[in-house]
Amino acid sequence: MDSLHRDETNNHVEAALKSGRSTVVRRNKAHLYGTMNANVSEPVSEAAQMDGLLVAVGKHRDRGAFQRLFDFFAPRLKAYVMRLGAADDVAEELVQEAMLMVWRRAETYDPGQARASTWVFTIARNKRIDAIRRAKRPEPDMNDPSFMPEEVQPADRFVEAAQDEERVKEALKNLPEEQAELIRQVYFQDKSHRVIAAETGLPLGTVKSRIRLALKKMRLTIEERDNAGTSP
Amino acid sequence: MPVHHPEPERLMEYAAGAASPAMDVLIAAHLSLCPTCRKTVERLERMGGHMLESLGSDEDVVSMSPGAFDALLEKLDLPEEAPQAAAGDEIDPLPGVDLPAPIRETLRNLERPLEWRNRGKGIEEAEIPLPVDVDDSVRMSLLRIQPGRAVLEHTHDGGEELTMVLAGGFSDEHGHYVRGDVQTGDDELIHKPIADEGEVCVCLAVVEGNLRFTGPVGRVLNLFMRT
Repeated sequence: MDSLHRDETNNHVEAALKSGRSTVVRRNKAHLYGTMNANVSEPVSEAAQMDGLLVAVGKHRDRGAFQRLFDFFAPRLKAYVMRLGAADDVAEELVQEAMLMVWRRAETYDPGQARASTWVFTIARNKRIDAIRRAKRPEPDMNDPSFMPEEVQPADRFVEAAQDEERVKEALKNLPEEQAELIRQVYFQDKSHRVIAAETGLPLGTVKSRIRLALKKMRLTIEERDNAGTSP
Repeated sequence: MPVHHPEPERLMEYAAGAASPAMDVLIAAHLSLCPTCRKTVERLERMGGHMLESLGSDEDVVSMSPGAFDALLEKLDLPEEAPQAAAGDEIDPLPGVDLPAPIRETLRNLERPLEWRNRGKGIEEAEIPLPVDVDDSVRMSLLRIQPGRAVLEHTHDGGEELTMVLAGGFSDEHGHYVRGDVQTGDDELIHKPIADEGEVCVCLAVVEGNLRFTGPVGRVLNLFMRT
């Protein structure tokens, strides 16, 4: 029963370790987020402030910042795990565990790699699965000798991360309801395409092609994005 | 680098946390060897983060009980339980095969050693028991195919079979599969993989049977244990 309880945030540790990032890259990223916020004509959104608060927790063990993170994320996380079927008290406990993990792992968070909400999402997702299975969810481990590192320069990645965030946000808004509903079922109701097919009576192939259409519209698969070239 | 990837909806289910335990092992193993799919999964996780963030309005969120934060504050300074090294850590669960961590750890955590069974015609199979899950139609196993031997022609009766190559390689009518590649077989595909000459082919296979759908809830949630 060893590695069941091993470090639960390999991905994030990996992200922190891999990023030989420079201040230039940070400025690039700040610029992109700045533009994004200017577009929606509000100062810095509450969600965007979370990145900085999480960094403050990681660097200075700042309890005030942690409380603001808790106030923002805990009710969302509770809603998330309850949508996935957890009872109130179980949900509460899972959220506590997830937020404790946020506190403990905050120093591995890299704002150039992902928004705080994405990082917190992956922690809560894993906590919930580990609780159901009573076993650690398998994840790739960058310290694994078999691990195949990527060749892209870190600098590209940070600019790309910011662009991705923005694209996903816009695309999700513009997705036809039928496809948006499918995505919600996968993320918020824990339904695989097989379960959706069995439930709706739709052929498996139909469900799969609808999901693929949605992913294609959001340009979330690598092929799509790369074929799309420089178009907006 | 792998050239045959899992289908995008599989990556989405992994990122969303909606995949079965067996599929999680196979996808995580593929991701260990495939930077391209890791990138896709990162994007799909961003979507999860964005959806979490947008649970913003009052109807969407669920308040924590009063005192929840104070209770948490008390835990912040407690030392974290140190991970325990297991006795089996030094044992190589499958000598001669370079196993990506997600598979290696799954095998190390098994309560019994792998039992290889002869399936005839140069094929052996070792079943890997799975964590408990509502969908009991899923099976995971390791396959060992002698050089040049063919797996019997088969279809998948309403389900799907994902096969990831760990060592050696095989070919079917869709192409040549080597380490890291994932082949998806479904209803429509009658496939007849043939192992490459010169090397034993070792694969991880996950077979999803015909899903017997019995209730409205995706996962069994009373499996949550209070601690």
